[in-house]
Amino acid sequence: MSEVIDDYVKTEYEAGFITDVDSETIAPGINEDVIRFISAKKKEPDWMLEWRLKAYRHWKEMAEPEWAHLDYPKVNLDDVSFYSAPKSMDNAPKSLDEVDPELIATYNKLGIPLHEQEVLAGVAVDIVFDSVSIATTFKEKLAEAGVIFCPISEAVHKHPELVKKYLGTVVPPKDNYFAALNCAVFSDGSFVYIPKGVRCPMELSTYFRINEAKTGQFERTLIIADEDSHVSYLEGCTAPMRDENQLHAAVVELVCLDNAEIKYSTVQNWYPGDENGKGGIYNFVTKRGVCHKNSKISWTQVETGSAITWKYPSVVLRGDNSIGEFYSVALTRNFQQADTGTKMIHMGKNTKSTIISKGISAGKSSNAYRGLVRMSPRADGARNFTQCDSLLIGDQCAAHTFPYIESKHPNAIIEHEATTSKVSDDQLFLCLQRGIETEKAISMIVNGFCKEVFKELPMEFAVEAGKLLEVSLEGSVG
Amino acid sequence: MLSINNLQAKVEDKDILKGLSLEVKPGEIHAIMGPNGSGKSTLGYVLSGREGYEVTGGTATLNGEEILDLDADERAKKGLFLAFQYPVEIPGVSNMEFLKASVDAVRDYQGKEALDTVSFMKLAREKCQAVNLDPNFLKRGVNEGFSGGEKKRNEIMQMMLLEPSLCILDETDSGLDIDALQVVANGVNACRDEKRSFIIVTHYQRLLDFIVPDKVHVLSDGKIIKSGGKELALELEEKGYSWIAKA
Amino acid sequence: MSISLQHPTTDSCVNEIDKLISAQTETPKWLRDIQRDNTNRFAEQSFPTRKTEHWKYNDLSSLRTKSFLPASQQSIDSQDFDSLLLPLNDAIKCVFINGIYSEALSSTELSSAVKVTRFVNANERQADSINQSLKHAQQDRNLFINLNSAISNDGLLIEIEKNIKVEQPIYLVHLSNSTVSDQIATNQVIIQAGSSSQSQVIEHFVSLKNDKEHKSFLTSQQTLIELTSNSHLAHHRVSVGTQNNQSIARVLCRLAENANLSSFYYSEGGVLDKTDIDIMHQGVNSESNLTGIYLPSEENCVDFHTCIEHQVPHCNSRETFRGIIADSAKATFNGKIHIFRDAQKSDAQLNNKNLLLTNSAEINTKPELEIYADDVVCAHGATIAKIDEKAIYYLKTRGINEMQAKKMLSIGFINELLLEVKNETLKEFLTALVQKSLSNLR
Repeated sequence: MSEVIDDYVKTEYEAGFITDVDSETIAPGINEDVIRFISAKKKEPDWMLEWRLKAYRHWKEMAEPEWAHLDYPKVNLDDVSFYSAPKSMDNAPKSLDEVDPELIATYNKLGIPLHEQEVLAGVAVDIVFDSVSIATTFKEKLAEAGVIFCPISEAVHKHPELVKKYLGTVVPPKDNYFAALNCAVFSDGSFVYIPKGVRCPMELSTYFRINEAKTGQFERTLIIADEDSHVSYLEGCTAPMRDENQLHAAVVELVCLDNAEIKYSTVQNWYPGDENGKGGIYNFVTKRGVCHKNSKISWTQVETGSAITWKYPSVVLRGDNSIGEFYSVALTRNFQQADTGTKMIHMGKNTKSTIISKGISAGKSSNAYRGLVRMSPRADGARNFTQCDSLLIGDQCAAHTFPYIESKHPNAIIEHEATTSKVSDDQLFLCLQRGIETEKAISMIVNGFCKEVFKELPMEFAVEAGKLLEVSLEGSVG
Repeated sequence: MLSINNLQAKVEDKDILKGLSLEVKPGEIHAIMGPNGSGKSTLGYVLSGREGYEVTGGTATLNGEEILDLDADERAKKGLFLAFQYPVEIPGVSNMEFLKASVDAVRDYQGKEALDTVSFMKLAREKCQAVNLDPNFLKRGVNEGFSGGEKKRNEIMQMMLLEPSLCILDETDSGLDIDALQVVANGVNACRDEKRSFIIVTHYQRLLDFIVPDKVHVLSDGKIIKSGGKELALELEEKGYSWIAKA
Repeated sequence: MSISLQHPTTDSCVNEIDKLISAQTETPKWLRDIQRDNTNRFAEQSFPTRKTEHWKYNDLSSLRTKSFLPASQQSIDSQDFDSLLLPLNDAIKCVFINGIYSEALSSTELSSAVKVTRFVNANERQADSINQSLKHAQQDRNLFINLNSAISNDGLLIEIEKNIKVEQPIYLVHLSNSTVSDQIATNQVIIQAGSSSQSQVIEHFVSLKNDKEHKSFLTSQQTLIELTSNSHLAHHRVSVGTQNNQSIARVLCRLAENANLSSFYYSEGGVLDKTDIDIMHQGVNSESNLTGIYLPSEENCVDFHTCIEHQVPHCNSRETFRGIIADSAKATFNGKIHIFRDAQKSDAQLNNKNLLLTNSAEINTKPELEIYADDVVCAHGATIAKIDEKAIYYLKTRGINEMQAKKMLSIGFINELLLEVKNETLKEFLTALVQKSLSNLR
């Protein structure tokens, strides 16, 4: 039956087209001049430039990490262009009507009709195309509630006090190789501030797209939920099919003040490379949130794209009674490799964390869960529950589990469970015998396997995620 | 209904069926008995199209149509149902979801409209009651954590729901106590009509006290070596199989 | 001729070892070749730091500052010695003092089913077989294991006859008796179980009281266990009263088809007590059952790194480790299950449970799965918790005071695993020991 499985895994990447826009792309390579150029392009104040340069100097001293269970040729940064933007963005459009129609068409094609979105879905969207944010919808309506939702480059100008206060506090520039690189060259990304006591009136969302060849995308997202506030944020990503490997090194920082709640959902569908493992995005992402007293951060991710995924959305549970959650579905097929998981650092009393990770490997792919649960000596009454399950489809793939569990408090309770199973021939035959086709059967089994995670996604996304998984697995089983 | 002519099949290079012929007319119940390893389960798998079971010769037609080249789901849609000896567990997929997909697929093939969720639920609950299964089973994963008896009753429940034209029961009675056996038999008898046929593979004569077969066949070394009426089953129970093999 | 660990890669360090090897004049050539080979491997590695994954939770910095002299055999009072032993009167006894085999204290009358040979006395066939075993063992680069095989100019080969049930346990006593600081004791043992044999091995690590003042006494020990086709071996490895030692050890077990290994570990920890256990299923349908208990207290450390490799299909492994960590002790457990690409139908289960008793105690656990075959059943679980309060409450409502209740529950937590001890004398001994060490719980 493995032929059926094989066919099932080999489907086309649907977001792989290229948008033909005239772009300004700087020469490949990185040095201080490149950083000055990016900063100047964004008309940044001196303090921002200094911050970037400092990070760059740190980064130069660092080495690319090798501990992950990943095997890939290193990216030669001399071949990567660190800034690319459509020329039409030179004079920033004031409203959607002024945005290059070619760009609007791109998003329509990806199923994100910007105009309809405004009217129908009640979701505010920030659109990042290569290195720049091209549009943010619903800005006014959000402003009425006091919510700030804008490109981070705009926030540097309009809200420097907030940016200065929080940027780099959760993921410091020295944190790791890719984070340091991002600090030096980040181009755009979203900035969110929810004021005290405000429940954000709509879902916020950012859609990232890499278009230009030989470029890297280094976006940076900063979300601040002030005391007693609440926000739900979604992010989606795609890129065209190209033969070379493109670099994506993002940083996301979440600041969750007392009694606040941030829900952060990702559907990552970067181009995964073709069925021979050629091309695809290298996705090296640092995502972390800090929880203050009684607050809650919840990460939900559905990872189906990228040739290489290196990503550990984490929560530092600093305040007492704070809660961290991580729900993840990671699917790898063909030659994709993923090393993903989370860190839950329990510092406060009675802090709680839940980790549910579902890894699905098919084809010749490799899928690793890597997690850390740490109970500090202050973490009285802290609790963690971890469940990580792997599902193998076909006999050429691999699944790994590397959970680090550390405790220094006798009243902290940690429970970790992991299982590995496969979609068995027996299961598929039972379904076939009841008239259910193999593809439908696999999709039912996989959806059943992921159920606990999908139920955490916002409604519109849950449907999309289910479909994405179905499409990704189409033709993959046996 | 079902016409098998000189069927030969192998599994992993080992010949299991060696020229089996069988004629089942509409409304008939045929019991197949035989020692371990005689090919009883293989017959069910070959007829239902399980991968790994290679047909090396002979034909099988269902309602006049050759079925051996069809995919397993095609055969199921054409009305062939196999009740498994060891029903497999599918964690995470609810029984309800599974059954709805199955019934939808079969109805779609027959050109019938899909049942809406409410009517489907009602129907599924009815069938559960018919085999004495708590309707809460519908919410659980397919066969997940079911006892052996519950799994077998679940198979019969599915059979009643799908209304197939040919039902193959592969040792559905093995491991059941008398009460559960009665439930299974009642399920089968309720489905019995002049159009629907059954092949009942069993080790034990006791099932045939509840489901009275039209014919009993003895399968040995991949062939039917003796056929008779219900009394043959009694004789087998008493004397074992060796007397036929010798004769 | 002392060996400095400060710069293992430098020529001077290699020269020191070379000189040492040359001074060991009685070493047969084949063994000397192994020593040189390991010296080179040792020299190619850098000293592990906290960033080295395998040593992440061990602080080895104190070792770096020292130079070590190879330990010598000390004569000891036989009465002192006897009091340390388990009452296994009929056992086949092999005794090592500071890693060196002691003919005087070992059994002289051996069973015909068990052949005990020092490496230096090995005949050609045995030398070949030892050579192969050590070659296999040195493959995974472990600085200390390479150092062990570089310094050791002897070892013990234990061969168990095929098709026989050996009734007497094989009792290996590893005694450390450090009268001087800054010494390193090395030892290597190879156990080969003949096909369809059945036997029991107990490895017992003890130390004499005077170890207390010599905390920089380092022992490095490796045991290689080879189970040939259809052999059954019950292996036990117990360290008691070795809290003042720094010990780095490794046990490598290889299982041929249909072989069955039951392996049991007990440790109270030490200044450093690290054991790497590798179980390799190399023949189909082999089975292993690994059990471990660790009860470190005071400021002791205990570290178990286990790796179960399913290299071929249809093997079954079970692993259970439990620990209670008291005072300011620290425990590290790393349990890896590695299923090779073709090892279909593997069944592997691992479980690790820990009780942390105080604010200053620490536990780090990492159960790993590395799976390359799809038709397998694998699961692991790990928990860290305190003693169940509901259970304590239940016992209190029956009139048992809190201390008593905690003690009962802790002992119960450990006792479940003592059922896996196959030797009755050892089981009694450990049961009493667990009672004693858990009775002063705070």
